[in-house]
Amino acid sequence: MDLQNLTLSIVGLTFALYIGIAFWARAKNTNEFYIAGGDIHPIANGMATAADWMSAASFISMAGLISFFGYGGSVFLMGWTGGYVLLALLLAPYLRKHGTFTVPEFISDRYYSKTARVVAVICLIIASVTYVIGQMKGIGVAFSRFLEVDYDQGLSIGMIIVFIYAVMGGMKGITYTQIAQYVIMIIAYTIPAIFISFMLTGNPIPQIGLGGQLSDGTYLLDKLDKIVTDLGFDQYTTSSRLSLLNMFFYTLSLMIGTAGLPHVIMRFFTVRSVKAARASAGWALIFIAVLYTTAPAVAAMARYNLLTTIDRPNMKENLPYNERPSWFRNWEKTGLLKFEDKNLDGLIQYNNFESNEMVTVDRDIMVLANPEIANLPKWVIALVAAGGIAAALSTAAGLLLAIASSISHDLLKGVFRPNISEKNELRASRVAMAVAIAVAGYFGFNPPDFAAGTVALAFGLAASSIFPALMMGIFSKSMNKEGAISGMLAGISITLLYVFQHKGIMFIQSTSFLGNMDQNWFFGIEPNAFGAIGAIFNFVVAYLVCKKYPSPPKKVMEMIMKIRRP
Amino acid sequence: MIVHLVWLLLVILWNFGFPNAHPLSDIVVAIILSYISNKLSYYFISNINTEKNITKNEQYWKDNIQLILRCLLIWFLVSYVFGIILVQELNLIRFGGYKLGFWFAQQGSIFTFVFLIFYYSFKIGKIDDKYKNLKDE
Repeated sequence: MDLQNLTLSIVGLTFALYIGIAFWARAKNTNEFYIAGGDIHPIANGMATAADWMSAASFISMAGLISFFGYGGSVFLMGWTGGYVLLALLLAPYLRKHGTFTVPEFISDRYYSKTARVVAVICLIIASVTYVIGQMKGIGVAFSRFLEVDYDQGLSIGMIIVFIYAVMGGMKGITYTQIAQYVIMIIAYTIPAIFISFMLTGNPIPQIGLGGQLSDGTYLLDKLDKIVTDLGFDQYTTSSRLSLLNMFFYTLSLMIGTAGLPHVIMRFFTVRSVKAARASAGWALIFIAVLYTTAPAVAAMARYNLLTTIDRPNMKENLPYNERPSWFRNWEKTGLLKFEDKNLDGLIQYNNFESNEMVTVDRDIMVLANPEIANLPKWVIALVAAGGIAAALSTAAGLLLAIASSISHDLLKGVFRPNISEKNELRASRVAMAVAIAVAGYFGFNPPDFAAGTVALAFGLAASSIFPALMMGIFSKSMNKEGAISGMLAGISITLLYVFQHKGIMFIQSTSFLGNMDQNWFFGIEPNAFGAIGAIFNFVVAYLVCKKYPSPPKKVMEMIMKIRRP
Repeated sequence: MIVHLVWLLLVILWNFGFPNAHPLSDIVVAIILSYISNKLSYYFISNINTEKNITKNEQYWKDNIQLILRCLLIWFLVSYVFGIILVQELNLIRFGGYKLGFWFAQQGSIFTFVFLIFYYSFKIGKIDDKYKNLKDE
C-alpha cells in the first residue's frame, strides 16, 4: 500500500474509533447527559484534559519551533506546563468549590454584575477565536500533507471536518473520546521519537537520548551546536529568543494564559470534589509532560537529521536536487518547502548565509516530516498524521464548545434573553460555532504567525483579561466590580492594541502602523509575549479603580469565605 | 530585616540576569520587588499568629497561602531563575550530554512542575484534615 492510502486508512480507523466511543458512551448514559463529568475519575479526567489541552500547536508546531529556535523554544515548554501549577494551586480548587458551569458565570457571581459577565464573555471569545485560528493553521498543514494538496485546499477540507466534528462532539461522551485521542496522540508522538532516539544515540528513551552520545562518541547536542554554527545559524543550546527579558515575559504570558483559558478551567468543574480537582490537575500535567519532555528530543533530532540529510557529513558534496528524497518532493507540493537553485549547480545549499537555497522551510512541517526524514516505516508516518489530526480536532472541538456555550449560555440565557427555550439555545450555539469556524478559517488562510505563535497570542489575551479577574476574585476580599471590569477591559485593550500595532489591525499586515520591528517594541518584548505586561496592567488598573468605589456587598464576602474553605 | 535581605537578593538576581536593562526598568523592578517582599514577609513571618483573636478559618487560609507561596517559590526558581535568568551561568556546568541551564529549561522544570502539584495536593490534604471541623461562622 502506498503512503497516502495507508495514511487515509489509519486516519479513517481512528475516526471510526472516536465515533464508536462517542456512541458507546452516549448509549450508556442517556439519563445523565448533564453530569457526564460528575463521577469521572481524576486520572480519566486528567487524560481528557491533556487531550483537550494539547492542540495542533503542541503536537505539530511546537517541536518545529524548538527545532529552529533551540534554547529559545523553551518558552513554550515551560510556559505551557508551568501554567498548570498556577491552575492547581490558585484557581481550580476554588472554582470547583463554587460550582458554576462556566467561567463568566463565576465572574458574574463574584463581581455581582451582569456587565462583568458580558465583559468576561467578550474577552473569552476574543482569546478562544484567536486560539482556533492557530489550530486552523495546524489543520491546514496536516491535511495538505496527507491529501497531497496545497495548503489552502487542505485548510478548506479541514474546516468542513472540524465543523462536523465539533457539532457531533458537542454531544455526550466527549470525555471518553478525548481519552482515546490522547492515547492515539501520545503513541503517534513517542513511537517515532523512540525510533529516532535509538537510531541516533542507541538509547530508546528520548529524554535520555537527547543528552546521549552519537555513534562517534560526541554528544548529540554538542554535535548539533557545531553543525548549526558552521552553517551560520545561532548555536542550538544557547540561542535565546530575542533577549532573556523577552523570554521571561513570554514564558510568564503563556503560564498565566494557561490558567486563564476557559476550555481548560471548565474541565475542573466536572470532577467529584475539591480534592479531585487538585489531583486532576496533577494527572493532566503528567500526561502532558510525557509529550512535552519528548518534544525537545524530537526537535533536536529532527534538526540534526534534516541538516545531515542535505549537508552530508561523509560526502564531499551536498545533496543534489535531482536525488532529493520523496518527503522533499511531497512537501514541495504543499508549498511549505521551497528550493531555488541560486548558483545553478544542482546541489542544495542550506545555511544562514546569502547562498542559502532553501528559500522556504515552514517550521510547522518539522514534526510531520521528521519520521520521513529519518526513513522510518510507512505506518509510523501515517500514525503521526493521524495523531496530528487528533490533536487539532480535540482542541478545536473543546474550544468551539467553550465559545458556543459562552454565547448561548452566558450571553443569551444569562443576560439578554433569560426565557429562551432550550431548542433555541442549542440552535444559537450551533450558529455561534459555525461563525467561529468561518472567522478562524478566514484568518487561517492568512495566518498571523506559525501555529504555535498564533496560539501564543491567544494565551496573551487570556492572560491579560481572565486570569487577573479570577485571581483577585479569590484572593482579594475587597476587589469590587468596578475594579475588576476596568481591569479586564484595560488588560485586553492594551494587549490587543500592542498586538495590532505591530501585527496589523485584525492581523492584516499592511495596517500595522508601528511595523513588526524590534526597535519599536516596548523593552524589546515581542507582541506574542505581551500578555504578561497586559496582566500586570490589569492588576494595577483594577487596584487603582477599586479604591475609588465602595467595597463588595456582604453576600459576596460570604461567598468568598465559602470558596476558601475546603 | 529579613524583608530587606529578600529584597536585596531579588534585586541582585535581577541585575545579574539582565545586566543590560534600561536604568528606568531597574527602578521600576526594584519598587515592584520591594512590594513583593513586603507581601511575602506578611505570610512568612507572622505565621505564628501575632493577632490573638484569629479565627480558625483565617488560620487555615494563612496556612494555605503559606504553602502556596512556598510551592510558587520553587516554581519560580526552576523555570525563571534556573531556566532563564541564570541560564548562562548554569550552562557552564555539564549534566551528561546536557548543559545544565538548557536541561532545566527543556526538561527539569517540567518534571518539577509535576512534582509540585502532587506535593501541594498532598500537603493541603493534611492541612484540610487538621482543620476538619471548620464550620461556617
